[in-house]
This record gives sequence, structure tokens and C-alpha cells, in this order.
Amino acid sequence: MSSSVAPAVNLVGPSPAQFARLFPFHLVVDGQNRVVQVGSTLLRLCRGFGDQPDFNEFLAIQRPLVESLPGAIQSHLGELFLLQLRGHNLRLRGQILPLDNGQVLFVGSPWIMELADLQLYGISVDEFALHDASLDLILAVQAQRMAAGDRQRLVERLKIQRSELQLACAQLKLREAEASKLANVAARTNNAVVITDSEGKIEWVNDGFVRLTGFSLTELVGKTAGMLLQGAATDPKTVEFMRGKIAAQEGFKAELINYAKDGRHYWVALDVQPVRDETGSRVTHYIAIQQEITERVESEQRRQLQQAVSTALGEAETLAQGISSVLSLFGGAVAARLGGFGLAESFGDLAVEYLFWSSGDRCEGLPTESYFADLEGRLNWSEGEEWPRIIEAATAEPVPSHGLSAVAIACRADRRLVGKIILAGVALPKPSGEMLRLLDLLSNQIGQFIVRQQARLELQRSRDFALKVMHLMGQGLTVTDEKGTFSFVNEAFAAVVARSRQSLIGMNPAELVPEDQQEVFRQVLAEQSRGITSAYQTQLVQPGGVKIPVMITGVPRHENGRIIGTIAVITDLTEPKRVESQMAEALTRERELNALKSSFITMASHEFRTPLTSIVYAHDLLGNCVQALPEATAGRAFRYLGIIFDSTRRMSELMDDLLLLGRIESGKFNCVPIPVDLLGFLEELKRQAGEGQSRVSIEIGSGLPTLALLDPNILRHALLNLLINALKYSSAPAKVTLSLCLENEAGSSLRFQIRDQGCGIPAADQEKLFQPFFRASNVGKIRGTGIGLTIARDCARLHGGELTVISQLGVGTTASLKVPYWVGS
Amino acid sequence: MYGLVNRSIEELIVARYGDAAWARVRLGAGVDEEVFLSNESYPDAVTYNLVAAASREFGVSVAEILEAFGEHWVLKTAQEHYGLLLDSCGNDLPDLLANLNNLHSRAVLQFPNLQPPKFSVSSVTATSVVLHHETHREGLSPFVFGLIRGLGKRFNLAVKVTQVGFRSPGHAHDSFHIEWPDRAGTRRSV
Repeated sequence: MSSSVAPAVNLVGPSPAQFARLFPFHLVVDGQNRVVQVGSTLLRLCRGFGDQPDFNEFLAIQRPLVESLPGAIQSHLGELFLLQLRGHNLRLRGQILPLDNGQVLFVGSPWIMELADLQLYGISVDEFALHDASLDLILAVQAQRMAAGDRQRLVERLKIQRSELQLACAQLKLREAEASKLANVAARTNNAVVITDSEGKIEWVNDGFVRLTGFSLTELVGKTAGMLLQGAATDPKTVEFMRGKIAAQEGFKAELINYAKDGRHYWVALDVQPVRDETGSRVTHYIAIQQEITERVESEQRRQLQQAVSTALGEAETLAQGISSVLSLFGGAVAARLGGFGLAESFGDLAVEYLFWSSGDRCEGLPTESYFADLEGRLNWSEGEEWPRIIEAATAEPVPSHGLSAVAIACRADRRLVGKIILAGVALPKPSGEMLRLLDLLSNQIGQFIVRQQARLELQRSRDFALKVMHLMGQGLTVTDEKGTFSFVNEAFAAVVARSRQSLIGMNPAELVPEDQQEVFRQVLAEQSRGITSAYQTQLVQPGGVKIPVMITGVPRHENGRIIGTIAVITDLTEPKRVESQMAEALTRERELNALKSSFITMASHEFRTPLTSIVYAHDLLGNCVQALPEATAGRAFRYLGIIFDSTRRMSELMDDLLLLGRIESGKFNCVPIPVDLLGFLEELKRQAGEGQSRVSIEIGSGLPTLALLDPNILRHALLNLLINALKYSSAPAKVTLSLCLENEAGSSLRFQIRDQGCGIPAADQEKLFQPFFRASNVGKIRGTGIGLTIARDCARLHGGELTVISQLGVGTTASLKVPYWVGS
Repeated sequence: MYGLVNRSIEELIVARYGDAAWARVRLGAGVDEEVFLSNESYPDAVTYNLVAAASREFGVSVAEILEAFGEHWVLKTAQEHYGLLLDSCGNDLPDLLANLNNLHSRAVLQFPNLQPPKFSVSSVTATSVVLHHETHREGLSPFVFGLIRGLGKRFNLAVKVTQVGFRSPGHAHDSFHIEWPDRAGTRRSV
């Protein structure tokens, strides 16, 4: 501020500087309307203030409507003045005061509507006097604005709440409508609906609930559903699960057994949902919907039981495994606490007789797995007194005898009782008819299972026995698999090849065969692979190189029409080979002796025949000479000549027989069939019989051919010996019959038969009849060589036939010669 | 406390954590009011409960909440409603600190029940000052830390604050030593 316009008058006491600080927006004008004093802030705002400038140059009076401040003193002293800074938006509001020296004082402050005006006008806070209320008024305005903002926010919030309220009302109406519908549905639905408080106490149930349980609403209110509806067969785990969910205030679904008022039990599907308060934090009620699912559950249980039992029995390897599984399954199906199984006394010799089972869920204290026990003596299945004691011991609970119930199931196989199952428990719910029928059906499966187990044990025993036999048998036994390697060898085989059985398993048999016999062995294996049974001799090599001669008989093993290996029996030929070798040597020696004997007989016969011929010739000559002797002498001489003749004849005949026997034994006498007139052949035999031929009668059977191809020479030797024997050992006039017939209707053989009525042959001698030179003990003085029957038998054999002799002492003898014949030329 | 303080806490939490978090804090504090009236006086317990609930909700200490609130109070709330007044109260940090009492005196005119703290400064140098804070309320020194840091940011200053005096029987105020690099840049940045 220019010092020239500084006030010269000390108006109210403060110095001009103090006055300017107290009133930074004041000004003083003189009578000429010139500004003579001005406040510090106003001075800063009115840039260009010169020395005592004209008021109107810088300021304009907006209110009241006066031209100048001095002019307004008389009539507007008590009015509010508004001054406008020229070239500036700032307005000053204040009042005027006439001073004693004719000057006018204007005291005011800027008119500001809000804090932003300070910045707009370029005024800082410290440019206001502290007593100036302008800033505070502005702050008050600001506070009002904040309040207005708050109100606006409140209004917005109220609008939102109103909208939410309207929405909530609409939703409430919808829920009420829905609830009304649901209430109607709940009241009329067949499902059971129950509403409880937060502690599970029943507040309301629908008619469906009453129908399902039999309890009236009055009986139910204030009680928990579990208290009234759950029973012995209700699964404790399910109950525990539901309690946990209730404690956690969560909804859940479950299936369990409930009991009606009349004790009937049934399955229900339970859907329980909590009802929360408006905040959602607190459960006020529970709504439970129950649907009876007894039929479905039991049907499913039956199906699962059937499947589980079939699986258990199919997978069980022992009777105990199978039965314990079945007991557990059956027990679960009928909610039993204990179960037991016993074999029928009359059935089988299986080791297991009694098997007990207990449910861990319902029978604490007993092991859950099945176990064998006698429980202080065997249970008498026909009496139920034992069961309360067992259950009481297992559960540590007194069991009223009337509360015990049991299900007994007979296991049958082919209508034969093979075992019994009893399932028992306290207040055991009576199984449905379908369940009992299923248990009965399954018990037959169990019966079959028991029979199979018995058969399996028997088979096992048979296998053990067979294995023992196979190991004990003297011959080697091997079994090969599809790869051709040993899958089994017995002890005997291992001994033959001098190896352990273990080392042989998996070995290829070819490894035991010498190199030079591999080709044969491969051929045999090839035959066996084609299913051909083979028997062959080869050698097996022991580890030390010793070769063992063996006979191997192999047969293929079949399975489903496919060859899966071979079974072979190996015979050690070491000993048989040695015996065979000894026998061959003995046979060779015997043949050599026979040959020597035949040669000797032949040679001796020839050698005897020459002197015999000389004796016969000399006999004939002596006969001529004797005729010349006197009658008395001649008679005696002829008698001696007769003796010589008979002796030489017999010797000649003996020589003939011996030669014939020698020829037969040496194989030089062959069968040469030629057409033979059978009747003529018989008549010729009769004639050749000599003196006794008159006692011989011939009989011819029917159907005989006229001609037959036979070797008459061989047959004549045989039949003539037999015919002469018959005549020799029967006295006249006893008849000797020579008969011929067909051996049978087919007619391929002829039967010659010589039947006498002679002395017969003692039974003790009959077995030696065909030994050369043997004569029966009863022949007395009847002459003979004892080789006739031997010749007859050998001739019969040479002709392909056989000779049989039947004789009875004192009755007679019948010799039958059966030979084949051929018809034609 | 006046509703403006609680509103400021609400704004801070909503800005940082969202509306749902604020609803949980309010529920945790047991506060029924959905709208705080700025010019309405509320019991101090409401403010303390809100701070405690926020501490529990977000797993941070009460001191951290209060310090964040102090900074928010300066930079957001005061700036929004009294920014120009603040602007007019000083062109640098020492000036503003010296005018705090005047500000609060004016505030008392608007808020009759207001029980504002008392501020005074001492040991003023070109790069430091000691601020004395006296109030009847307990445990607000972290809030003062936040206020000072907010004012530092307002003037674009990296202030270092150390509490050098502690309220105790016979010693009515907390004292904070505030220092900054130099006078350059002490002009406010907002």
C-alpha cells in the first residue's frame, strides 16, 4: 500500500497496521469518494491501486443502489453493502460507518459460497482475520454438504432396501404360495413327511407318515424319530452317520430300516434338509421326507446276496472259506448277530464240523472273522438253548429267552442233508418270504458246494495215492508238457537216468538219448505229436556215460481234443536183456542137442536097418533050409524063426517110427495137401489096421464133402497109430469106432475120432501121454514103443491141427484129431 | 467419534477389500448401521470395534490398520472434504503441522461434540520437526504415524518418523520426530 493513502487518523485505537490485520478487507473513502485507506488483503487484490484512487475506478456498489459511499451515509447507513471489485468476481459484503472527519469506513469480508471460491479468488486462509466467520461458515456449508451427501446416501440405501424389501416380499409371497402348495403336497403325498425342531423333536407329520409308521401325530410330537422308529435291525453305522450330519447341521440322504408301531420293519429312503433362519446361520427346523423302499431294497439285497454267495462259493478254495463267507453274507441279510454251520453227522469225513460266525457290528466282543470252535462242547443244533448263552457272552447283555429268534437253513445236495446253518439274534426281524425262499435256494448251492469240496478232497486223496503209486512203481514214468519238456518224473525214472527228479523237471527228453539214436527218437516224437502211441527200445545215458537199455511206451496227452504232451512208461531192459541172452543161449544149445539127437536117430536107424535087412534076408534063407529038416526039428526051428521075424519086424517098425519122428523134428517132413476121397481114405485105414480090422466100424458125419484137400500121408501116420492103439488096448470082440465129421457147421475143420472100449488110461498117466517112449502103467504085457501118440500129435501139428485124448480107466479111450481142410482140387 | 471417521474406515476397507469384506467387518464389529452420518457423533467403541474386526478379518495387526487409516484420512477423506482448506493451511509440511490446531478449532465449530487432539511443534529445522500429539484416547499413536506419512506424501516428501515421546502418567502426549531430506519439494504435490 502506498504510504500516501495510509490513514492519518487513529480511529479506534489500533494502529493502522493492526487495523489492517484485524480487517484485511476494509477501506476508507473521503468526501470526494477517493480511497484513502485500505486493508492488506484488499490492497493485494486491487492491483494497480494508485495514490488515493477513485473509489469507482476499482469498486462498484451493487447494493444499495447508490452512487458513492459518502452519498449513502444519510439514507443507507443501516443497510448491508455489496461491493464488486471491478475486473474481478470477488464481492465484498459489509457495512459503512461515517467517520468524524467526513470519511466513510467500509468494513467487510469476501462473499464466498464454498471453499473453492478461495482458490478462485486467490485468497488464502491466513488472509482472513481469525475472527472472520467466513471460513467457518464455509466449513458449515461443507458440513451441510456432507450431511446432504449422507442424506443422499441414506436415500440411496433406503431405495435399495426398499427394492430389496419389495423383492423379499415378492419372494415371500412366492414362498408362501410354494409353501402352501408344498403343504398341500406334503399333506396328500404318499411319502412320509416330518418336520422337527433344531434338536430333531417332531413338530408335525403328514398323513403319509402316520400311515407308514402307525403312530399318530399326538404320539409323535415332542419325540425324536429315531427314538420311535429305530430298532435292532437298524444299521448302527447309518444312525451314526445321520447323527453326525445333524450335529453339523447339514442335510443328508440315507437308507435304513425303521420299525412301525406294530413292530413291522421296513426300509425307507430318507432325505433330510435343514431349514435355516433368515441369516442362514442358524438351523431352526429339519424337514425329512421318507419313502418306503422295502421292496426295492430287499430285491436288490436278494440279488446282491445271490451274486455274492455265488462268487464266494466260486472263489473259495476250502470249505471253511466258502462257509464263513456265506455265514457272513447270510447274517448280514437277516441282520443276525451270530451264525453257525455244522456238517450233517451222516455226511462225509471232512475235517471241519462246526463253524461259527459273529457280526462285528452287532456283536461286540467276538472276533468278526469266522472261526472254528466247540464252545465248550458241540452245539446241539436241534435245541436253541445255547444261543442266548452265546449271544449273552458275546454282547455282555442279558438276553431274554423270548427275545431270541433264529433262522435255520438246511443245506441239501440231491435231497440229502449235508449241512445246517443257523443264524440268530435278539429280536431278529422275521425275514420276508422272498428272502427265506432265496436262502433256501442258496442253501442248495451251498449243499452242492459242500459235495464239491468233499469230491475235491477225495480227488486230492486219489491224486496223492496215484502220485505215491507212480513214485513206488518199478517202471519209470514221465509226463511232458506242450513244449516237450518233463513236467513230472517218478523216482524210478530218476534212478534209471541216475539224476535227481528236480534236475529232470524242465529237461528235454532228447538230452538223455545217445547221439546215434537221436534220429529214431525224433521220429518217435513226431509220431507222438500226431497222436500215435509208440513203443520202442532205445538207450538212456546216465551222467557218467553209462547207457541203459530201455523200452519206452508213450501215449499222447489230450485236452479238449488237443495234444498237450505225452505220458511215457520206461522199462529198464538191463535185466530182461540179460535173461533173454541166457535163454537164447539155452535155446541154441537145446536146438543143437535136438539136431544132434535127430541126426543120431536118423543115423542109428539107417545103421540098424542094414543089419535088420541082413537078418530078414538070413531069416528067409534059414526058412528055406529049415524046410529040409526033419519035421520034429523043423517045427522047433520054425518057432525060432518066428521069434526072429517078429523081433526084426518090431525093430523095423520101431526104426520106421524113429525115422519118421526124426524127419518131423528136423523139419524135413512137409504137409502136401492133395484131393482125398474121405470115405475111401477111412476104408483104407481100416484095411491097414490088419487083423483087428473086423472090429473097426466106420461112421461118417453129415455134410461132409466127398473130396477134401488133405495130406493123406501125414494123416495116415497119425490115424493108423491111433487105430492100432485102440485095437491093441481093447480086447475082441470090443468094437473100435473110426468116425469123421465136420468140426462145426462152418466146416473149416474135420474131426477124426477113434473110440475104443479098452482098458483106458489111468488119470495120473494122462498128462505124460505125449512124452516119447512113455507107456501107461496099466499096459501089462501088451507090447509097444511108446512113441505112437508122440508121432500122432506131431503129425496133427504138422497138418495144422491138434490131437486130444480123453480116457477113462476101464471104460475106454477116445482120441480126437482135428485138422483143417480145404475143398476143391 | 463422528460418523466421518467411521465412513473413512468404511471407504478404506471397501477400496482395499471390497463390499463383502466391509459387510463381514461390520458384522464382526457388531455394528448395525449401514450408513454412517458424517455429522453424527458415535461412541468411540464403534470405531475401535471396526478396527479390531478388520484386524481379525484381514489377519493384520490393529496398529497396521490404524496406520493405514491415518494415511487414508489425510490423502482421501480430508482431501475430499477439506482439501482446499488444507491447501490454504500451509504450503509446506511445517506450516500445515503448525495450523493443525486452527483446523481443529474450526472443526469444533461444526462438530460440537468433537474432542479433537492437541498438536504442537517444536525443534523446527529446515529438515525436521518434532510433533507433539495429545489426546484423551488410548492407542492412537499408529494413527498419528499414518497421518504423518500421509502428509509427507501430500507434500511429496519421504518422511522418516520416529516416536520419541510416549504418553504415560505425568507425560500427557506422544512425540514424533519427523525428518525429511531437504526443503526442496516440500510443496504439496496434490
